[in-house]
Amino acid sequence: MPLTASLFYQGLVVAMACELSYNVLHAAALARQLQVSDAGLRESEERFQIVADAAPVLIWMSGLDKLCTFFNKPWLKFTGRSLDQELGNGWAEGVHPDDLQKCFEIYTEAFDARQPFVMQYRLRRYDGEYRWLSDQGVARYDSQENFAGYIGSCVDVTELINKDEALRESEERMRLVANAVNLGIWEWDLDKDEIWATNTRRSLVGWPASGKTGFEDFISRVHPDDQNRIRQIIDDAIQNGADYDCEYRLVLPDGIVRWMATRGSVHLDANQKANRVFGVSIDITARKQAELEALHHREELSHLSRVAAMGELAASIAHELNQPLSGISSNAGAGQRFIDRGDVDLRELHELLGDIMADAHRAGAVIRGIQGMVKKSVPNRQQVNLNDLVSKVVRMIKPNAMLQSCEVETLVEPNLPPIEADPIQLQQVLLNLTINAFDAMDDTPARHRKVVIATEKNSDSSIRVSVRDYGVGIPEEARERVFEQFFTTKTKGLGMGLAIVRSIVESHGGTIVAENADGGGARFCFTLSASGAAL
Amino acid sequence: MRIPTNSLVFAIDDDASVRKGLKRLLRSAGYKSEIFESASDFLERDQHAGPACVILDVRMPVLNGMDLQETLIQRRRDEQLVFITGHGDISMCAQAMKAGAVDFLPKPFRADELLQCVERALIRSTEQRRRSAEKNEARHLLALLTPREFEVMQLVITGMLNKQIAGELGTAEKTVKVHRGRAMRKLNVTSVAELVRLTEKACLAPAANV
Repeated sequence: MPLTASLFYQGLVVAMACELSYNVLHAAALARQLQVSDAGLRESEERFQIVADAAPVLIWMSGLDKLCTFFNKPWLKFTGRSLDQELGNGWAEGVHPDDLQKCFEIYTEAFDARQPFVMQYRLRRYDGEYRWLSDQGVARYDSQENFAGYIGSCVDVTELINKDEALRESEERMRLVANAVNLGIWEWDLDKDEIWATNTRRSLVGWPASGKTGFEDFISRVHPDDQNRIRQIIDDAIQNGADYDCEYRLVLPDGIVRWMATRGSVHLDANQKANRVFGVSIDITARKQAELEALHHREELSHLSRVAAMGELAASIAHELNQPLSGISSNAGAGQRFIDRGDVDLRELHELLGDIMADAHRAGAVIRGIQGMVKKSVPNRQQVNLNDLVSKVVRMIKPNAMLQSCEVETLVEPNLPPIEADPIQLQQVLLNLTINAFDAMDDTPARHRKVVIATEKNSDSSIRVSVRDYGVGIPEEARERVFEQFFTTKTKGLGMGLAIVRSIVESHGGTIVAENADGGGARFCFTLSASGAAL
Repeated sequence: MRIPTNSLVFAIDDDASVRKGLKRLLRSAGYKSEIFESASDFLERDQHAGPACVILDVRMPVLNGMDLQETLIQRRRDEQLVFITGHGDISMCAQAMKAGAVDFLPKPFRADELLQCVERALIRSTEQRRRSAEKNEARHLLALLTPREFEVMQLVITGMLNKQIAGELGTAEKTVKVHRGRAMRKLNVTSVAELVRLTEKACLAPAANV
């Protein structure tokens, strides 16, 4: 995390400076002590010089006239100049011309106010290279507590500055890249509920460029249909200290809806408690629109092809049935007319009724043939784990769920025994039931739309799979009929879905029931035997 | 209108039980009928001399209903057609009706509806036959006129007076009067109105007024 790294280094510089300032104070105190000691002034000065020269930092001292009166050996060694050259304002000759003005200003201002100061400037080293120094100065006093000038110490911070600079650069580069791809970066402090965000992110969400923002400021911008889902995802991530990915819609103040993709990462404190969430968010409206269009297109196509296939089937069924029905109609009409005319030849009438019966049987055979056709498809039985099947179907219907703002929850029983079944057919069953569940919730407010797919092992080792919705439920009078062919409550439906579902489940030796769930909505449950199909 | 006793109903269907049912239904309504398994079987039979109608399925193997209709039109045959059809042949229905079919019944049809269609078809066939007989007769009479008489007659039916006709043909009014009298006698008409009706039956348009 470059941001934190940069903060870390800045902190380090400050800490070092503090440490140095402590050293300087210590040195000043030491000098005072030396001055007042019985050993006399000269000795004390010598001692001070020894101490100062031994310090691993550059030390200077100035008098009441602000002019420098002392530089320690490390300083002289660093600049490669003699003490005489440095005294007074001589040292300023080594300061980088760009930094000199500021140096004097800070020094003078602090000096007049007797305030400690910290400043950074470039000083020419003996080899001619300018190095960054962090210079910290404090007022010094003599033994009578009279102001005697300043004492300062410097440390070479070039490496740190370079690192900082490199970081700043990489940060800047990152920011430019992020801007270029419209990537918003943010950090959410959980304890304070404060969200820091890059300008890109702020403008993506439609927040003003500055000002305090919290989680509610964010969630209130999320599309109402997505709010619960996003809250849930983020809550879960914080709870589990995990990363998360999500896609959601933002409604900007001007009413425009934008699709966002966010990747968030929860940061834990030392006590393993989540304290911050970092994240990046990107505007994916264009991609989403293309996706949704493609989905619409695909759905339309599949619906059309389904309708076309059904149309073909219906045409051939109609043709097969129309022939005997035409025969029946003609014969019955003829019979009536014979009777009306009063010349009923009973033998002829008998033969006529026989023909009607034969045609009726023929029509019946046609219908049985259709049923046989549905069942005749060659089964491809293999070991199937129903939980795998559930996750596969959930993946497949994800776009539908998104499109219909519907949450999909799975409650699977772990370690289900495999069953012997045709995976494609069972997938069709589950898909059909799930898509039905979505369709049943067209009138359900989006925040209540949810489909729960559950697997469960029964005591007799059969497995129960249920698909529950929170829609209108099944009217009592329709409950018996939902599995019949051509029975439908949908305007677009053909009424074949559940009939096929049942025929598949039954061909696997299973059963299927439809019921209304407690708390509203319908539940379709099918039960399959774990020990393999009966057929 | 009574349906002449020499009327005949043909039915073509590739399904035996439909054929049998149709035959019985037509007999119950008092129609004479002949039943064929295919359109080509039907075409092999000589054209019936009296009013005739054909009940046929749009979808038949080899020669389908639409093909048969086209063949009959090409051969200038005047049987009236009643189509019966299975599922969703709306475009064919429109096409068949445009080409002069009496009606188009979806299968499974109602027996009485089919019989009503047959009745309408036979009435239409009878009328058509009468019209074409009259046309033949009128054309036969008109053929008796000399070219000059025909010329005069064509101008008479436009409503021109003898004097005007004489002017038009560059001849004397008296001559026109003679031609006109002869033509009326040959055509066995006594008034201009009768003459006009006769030429209409023959589908003869009045000469363009020069």
